[in-house]
Amino acid sequence: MYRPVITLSALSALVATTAAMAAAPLEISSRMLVEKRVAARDGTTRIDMVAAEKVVPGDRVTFVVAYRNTTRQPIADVVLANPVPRAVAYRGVGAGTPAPDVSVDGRTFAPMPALRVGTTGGGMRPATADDVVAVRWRLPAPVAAGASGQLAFQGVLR
Amino acid sequence: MAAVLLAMLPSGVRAQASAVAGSIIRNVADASYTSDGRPAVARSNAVATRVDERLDVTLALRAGPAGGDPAFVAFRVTNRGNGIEAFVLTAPAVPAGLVVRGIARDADDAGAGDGRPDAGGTLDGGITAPIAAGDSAGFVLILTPAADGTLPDGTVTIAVRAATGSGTPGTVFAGTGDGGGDAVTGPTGAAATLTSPVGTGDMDAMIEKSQAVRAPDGSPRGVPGATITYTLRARAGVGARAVRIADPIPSGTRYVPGSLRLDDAAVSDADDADPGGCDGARVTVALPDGGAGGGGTIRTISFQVIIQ
Repeated sequence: MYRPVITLSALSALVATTAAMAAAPLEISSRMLVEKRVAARDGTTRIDMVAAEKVVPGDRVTFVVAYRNTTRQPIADVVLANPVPRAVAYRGVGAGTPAPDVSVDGRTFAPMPALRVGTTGGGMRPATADDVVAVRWRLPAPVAAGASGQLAFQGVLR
Repeated sequence: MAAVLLAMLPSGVRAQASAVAGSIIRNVADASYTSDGRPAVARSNAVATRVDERLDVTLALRAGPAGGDPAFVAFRVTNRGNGIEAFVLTAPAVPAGLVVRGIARDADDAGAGDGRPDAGGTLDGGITAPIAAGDSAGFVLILTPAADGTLPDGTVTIAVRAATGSGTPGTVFAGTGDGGGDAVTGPTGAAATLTSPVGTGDMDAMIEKSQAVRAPDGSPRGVPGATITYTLRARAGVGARAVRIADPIPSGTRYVPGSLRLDDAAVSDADDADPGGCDGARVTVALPDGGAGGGGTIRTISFQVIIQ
């Protein structure tokens, strides 16, 4: 009798989770893409963006954060955040994406030019893309009912 | 003295603190918002991607042939990939009259190294112990000289390739990378060769190659569009004549026209009266002959390529 009880409660939890996700007013999803160079017959090279199932150092990767308002009401004060994985060096935003606030410590977010990083000599220097550990966007206007959008940033695998 | 050719194959692009082969990169985005007047948070799905093993290797001469019986050529292998990799070492070409006894580890290489093999004999099949990503290991090629103990004039070629596999950059060896992923050859093709002159007149010849990478964003990453500046310091050796340096343009890169310099003076790309040039496939530079005031001088050659 023990085993069926476990199965039922696991199933219940799964149903509950699914229900919660379906009910989320703002759905967000994450994708990771990698540049793949494809040689064309005419000798040129085409760059395709494909789902990053595997990568090697030097690969250019793009992280896409998509959002959708599942309700019939506007959703306000939307802030989307994404940590930059440790193995990835931040390189900027994707086409059509506004510049995010960035963080070099995971706590303080600001435009890149406003950030400073401590040096081993005890001084400070301007932050660079290599220092970025997280990005954050504050949407300037509420997301209308049923509306969706996406933001993207790029990096290079260290 | 015969003319000698000092040739080096491309050095790899050094990745700094590379992502470890076999590791998993995960990403989750999150959001905060106000819905129906109440604050709320949301998390995205998690995405995960596997870091495959990039195979890259470079080879550098540590000390030219030391005479005697046996004679030694000391060199260094650097694992430029992101995995733990063993390498296969061979000496595919030696001058007639020299016999290859084998290749042995020279672990006394923390500093300058002593250029002599460690106790323990030669490598079985020329296969090294695994070398960690970014690490170097010293080795010596052991040669039996001619019967009279002299080193015949000519060149010795030493070759290295990754034990997992080598080939055109981008060649995939499915399922053979660290952590169970694929292994993929990087810019060096996971292979390199080194040619060292031998012979009494060339004992003081030396060549060193270094590189600096600058990406369009100013970082030192080896990404497409990045410029690599190669610098070679070379000395013909007292008594050497007609020494030419030949350095192939690495595959996957394009020579920057007009970037060749010798001792900070521009050298035209054309095959003309000045001491060097580049035909797009390789850079060649003639060094002044040895002898009084000539062969003992270190000359500096530099040129640039762009990663495609």
